[in-house]
Amino acid sequence: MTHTDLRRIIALLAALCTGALLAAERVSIPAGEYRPLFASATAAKQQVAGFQLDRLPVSNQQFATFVSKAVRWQPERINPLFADEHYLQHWQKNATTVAAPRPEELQAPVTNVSWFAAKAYCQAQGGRLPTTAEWEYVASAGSVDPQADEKLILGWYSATTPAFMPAAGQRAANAFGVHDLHGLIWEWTQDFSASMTTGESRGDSALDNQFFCGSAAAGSADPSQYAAFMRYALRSSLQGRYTVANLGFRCAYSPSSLNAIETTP
Amino acid sequence: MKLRTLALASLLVCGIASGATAATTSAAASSGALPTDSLYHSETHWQDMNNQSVLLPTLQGKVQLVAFVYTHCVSMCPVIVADLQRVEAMLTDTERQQVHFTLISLDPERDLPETMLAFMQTHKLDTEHWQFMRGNDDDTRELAMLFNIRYRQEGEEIVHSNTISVLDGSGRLIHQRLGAGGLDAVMTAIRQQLRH
Repeated sequence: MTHTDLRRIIALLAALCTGALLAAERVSIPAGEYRPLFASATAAKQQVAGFQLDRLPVSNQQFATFVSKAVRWQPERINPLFADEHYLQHWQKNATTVAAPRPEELQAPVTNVSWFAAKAYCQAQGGRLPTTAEWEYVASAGSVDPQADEKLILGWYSATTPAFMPAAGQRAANAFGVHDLHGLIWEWTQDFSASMTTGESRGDSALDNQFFCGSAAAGSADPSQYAAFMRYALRSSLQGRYTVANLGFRCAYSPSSLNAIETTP
Repeated sequence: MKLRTLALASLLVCGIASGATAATTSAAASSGALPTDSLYHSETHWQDMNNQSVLLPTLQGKVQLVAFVYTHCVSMCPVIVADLQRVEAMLTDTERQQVHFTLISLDPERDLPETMLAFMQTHKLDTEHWQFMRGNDDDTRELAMLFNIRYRQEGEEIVHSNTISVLDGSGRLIHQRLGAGGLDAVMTAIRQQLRH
């Protein structure tokens, strides 16, 4: 082993360390309540228990570190059950034909990831995906300037996705100390599919009415929550295999008796 | 020498800094031979009514009938279970030895192993041909997605798809019954598999 090799290894280790340290940046979110979109103003608020959430969305670099160990999630090996054909398509193939993120996108949020891949990443970190309730609860906390928040959100929702995704963490954190819930990417939630209408439950027709009839505005807790409606609509249109150029994720952590089910071998 | 020490030091630091990154252990040992479209590729962890740990590749070999239910369910689940029992009753003794019934809980929080076992006893589901299992929220959601099952909590109830799925011996989804009825088609799907 030459000194150059050693230096390379050290540089790599340092890079890995940085990634690992960043990954450990979790924000403790206190328990609270939030009113789900389309719950009428008289409906009970949804309780959210205390949990931890990544301060930033998961970056390309962090995800690359993960797939270097969990090879089944590499774009070359992914099973089509778990991701569509656009999975990690923004990564570049190098000489060894293994795709890796572009250097300028290492700190940018990873996108083009399926729900299954996002879930696997979070489980490998000892976490899970946040529920829609948790995500919306944290995202409902604005910064110091609610009007600027709304402007940012709606401005971004109507913008096109940039050619290169900017790095995460450049905007101010929200009141919880969490960054980039708005304005950079959409994010997967654990139960995104729960918002789908199944067309076979008694509750659905009412929900549909709330959505698509004139009663929508009347029934909704806050008619100005257009942004939340956009997120709801996106979640309803997704499937677990789908990958989208501006859809990424972050992980949540909470001590749950079910996160590690004890069994007798 | 110095460099080596440094490398070692950074290794140690890394080890401390990276916390718990779980090694990607998998059921790969037994999932290597699975066809690409086998749902048993899902690396989810389950706990059955006897408190035993279950990995999906271990379900290989028999035709599996799968349904997502929960024990506190009053409306749809008893009907789904009754339909599965009707299927079981239609099987010949020989066929029955090659078919297995798996119930998956949509309410893992409340469906403890003993709760699942009591449910099986109440409905007279013998543990040789039937199993009932639960996983954590993430894993339950994953498997439901692979089966195209949608569900959500609505107050005390869980609204969910009323579906019976048939998997072949290697975990490929070969038939789904959506909604009521359709047991003849389920039987046909099972018998086609058993003739293979």
